[in-house]
Amino acid sequence: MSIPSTRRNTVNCDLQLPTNNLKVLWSKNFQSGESQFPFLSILHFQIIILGLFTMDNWLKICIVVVFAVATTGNEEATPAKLLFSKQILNKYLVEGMDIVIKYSLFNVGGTAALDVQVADNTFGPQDFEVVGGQLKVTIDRIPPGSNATHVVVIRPSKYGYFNFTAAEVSYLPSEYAAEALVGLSSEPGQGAIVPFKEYDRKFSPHLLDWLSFAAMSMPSLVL
Amino acid sequence: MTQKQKALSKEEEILLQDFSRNVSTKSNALFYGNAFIVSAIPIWLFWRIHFMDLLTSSPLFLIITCLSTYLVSFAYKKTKFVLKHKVAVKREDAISREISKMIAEDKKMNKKEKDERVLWKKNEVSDYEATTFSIFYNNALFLAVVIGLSFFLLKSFSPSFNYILSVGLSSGLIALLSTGTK
Repeated sequence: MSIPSTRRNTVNCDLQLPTNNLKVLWSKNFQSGESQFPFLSILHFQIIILGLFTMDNWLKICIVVVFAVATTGNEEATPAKLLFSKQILNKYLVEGMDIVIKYSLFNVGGTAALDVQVADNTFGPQDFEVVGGQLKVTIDRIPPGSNATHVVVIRPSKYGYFNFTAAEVSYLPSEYAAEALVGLSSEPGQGAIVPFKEYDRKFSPHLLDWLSFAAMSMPSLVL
Repeated sequence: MTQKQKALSKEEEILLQDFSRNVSTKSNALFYGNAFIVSAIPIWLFWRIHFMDLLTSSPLFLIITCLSTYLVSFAYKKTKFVLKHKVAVKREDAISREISKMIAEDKKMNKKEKDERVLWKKNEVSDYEATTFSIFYNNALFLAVVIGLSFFLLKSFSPSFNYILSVGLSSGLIALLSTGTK
């Protein structure tokens, strides 16, 4: 089989590939002019295994050369791209009790995200008190393929329905980027903050109150 | 004739006392006092556990407590009357033996006086035992029904409605049960 040459990669190899799928992949990659590193790496891995068992020496050399070219041909990485989620970790939202909020940032791009600034302006000081953490943070760098999390603990001072909306993030997608990218997190949605009385009425054991009741009832029963 | 009439009227008095449903003033005071205390006890539960506000709910507490006091004391009286005769039958032999022992040395006392004394003692003992048991039984039943209704059957109701129904139904129930003849 002869492989057509492209403007970047010129290889003449007679190669007997085990399956037709592999042949299609090989020809597609070299005709596109772009280096599709993931495809090439999987393909080369399969070929190397086959080569160890079946091919002649000159064919093995051919494969090594192709592999080297493929790896060095990967010059332009994709810019940083952050996925941002905001989660309420509480099961119950109660007036005067802590609410834990987790912010997660995932960099799915090819380069590190720089100067990542997270700001959540949705919790006004008149309705919420920040008990732990900060609502505005800066993360210097999030490497590609990694994530970062941040947790804030707040305490609502009022009860009622509250719409938990998105937090904001801004970051530089690459080292030479002129403008920062701005994004929004996911929205947890509307939550009901119940009055403390309702929560206490439902969940508190009231041991002391029951003991007092027993003490008060004793004289009328033990006559 | 006058002395005989007096003696008869004394016997009649004891018999009337024995078979009458009316209670003495002292017993009345005891019943109403206990009924008020036991009717007021659930207020603590509703204030501390159901979080009813004491000041704003005070008229409701007062009305229901008064109603409950009346019904619980009614239950006391009815239950006491039924129990008194049962206790009297059970205690008769023991009381007769005790009185006989006491007056064995006194040979001046005739049989009639002895019977009178036994009757009086029997009435007194059965009255006391029936009163105390009636109070205990009705209090225990009232409190058990209040707790069962307010924390299990009626727990999803609003606290005010819960209070009215649980205390009202409990006192009504024990009043109803006390009207039985057995």
